[in-house]
Amino acid sequence: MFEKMSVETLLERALGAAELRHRVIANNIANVDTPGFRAQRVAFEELLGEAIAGGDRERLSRVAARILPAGLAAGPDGNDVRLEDQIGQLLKNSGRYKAYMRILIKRYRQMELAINGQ
Amino acid sequence: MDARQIMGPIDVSVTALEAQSERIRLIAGNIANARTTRTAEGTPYRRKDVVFSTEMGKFAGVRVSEVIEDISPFKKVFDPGHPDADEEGFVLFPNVDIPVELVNLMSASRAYQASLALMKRYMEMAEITLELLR
Repeated sequence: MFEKMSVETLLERALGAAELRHRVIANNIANVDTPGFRAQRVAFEELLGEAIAGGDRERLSRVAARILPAGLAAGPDGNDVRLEDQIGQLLKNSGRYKAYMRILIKRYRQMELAINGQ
Repeated sequence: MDARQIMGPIDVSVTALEAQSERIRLIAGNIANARTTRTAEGTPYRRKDVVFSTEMGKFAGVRVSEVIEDISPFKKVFDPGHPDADEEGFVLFPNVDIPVELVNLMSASRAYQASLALMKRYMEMAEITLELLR
């Protein structure tokens, strides 16, 4: 049985991914000077894109955020965190989070209106 | 999100602020003592540094696991008039290079600022999330 993928569910998953991503970025930035530390990233939107392109409804409903190595070139002390890159990711991510949340809030308000009939 | 992850993103950033603050304190100490030829122990001041470490996979931020002394040699300067000169007229100065300390200071300061930016952004995200409850 395929799970019906509502927009709200999708948004909630995207929000969860953005929250996780913020934490991963926070950890990357905290460890910018830790020897041997390898930066990580969270994949979600791209996995979603792949599932949509594949046209498989069931696969779409199973897309979940994944933590992956960022796979960058390490410096002499084994650390591969680049502060500028992380700040860029931070700004994109927080912007996306706010956008998703605003859309979700709007949809919930619409549902409230429909239920209360006002 | 995994319920076992007790540390929220704010806590992660706080560890960064604390670690970089401690690093900045040590750098300030190095700069202040760059010309201290005789400490309480009677020897020249030895440069100090922090060692950062983290637990991979926990996303719990960073901590200062050690404060170490730089084992690179003291600087030998010929200055027979100096009160701490030895029999041959040489004085041992601390193994501190001001330019190096300043570069490290800038690096620590940037990392500190970046973590502040993170916290600010997270608070903005949290504020919007609260609107959901209105």
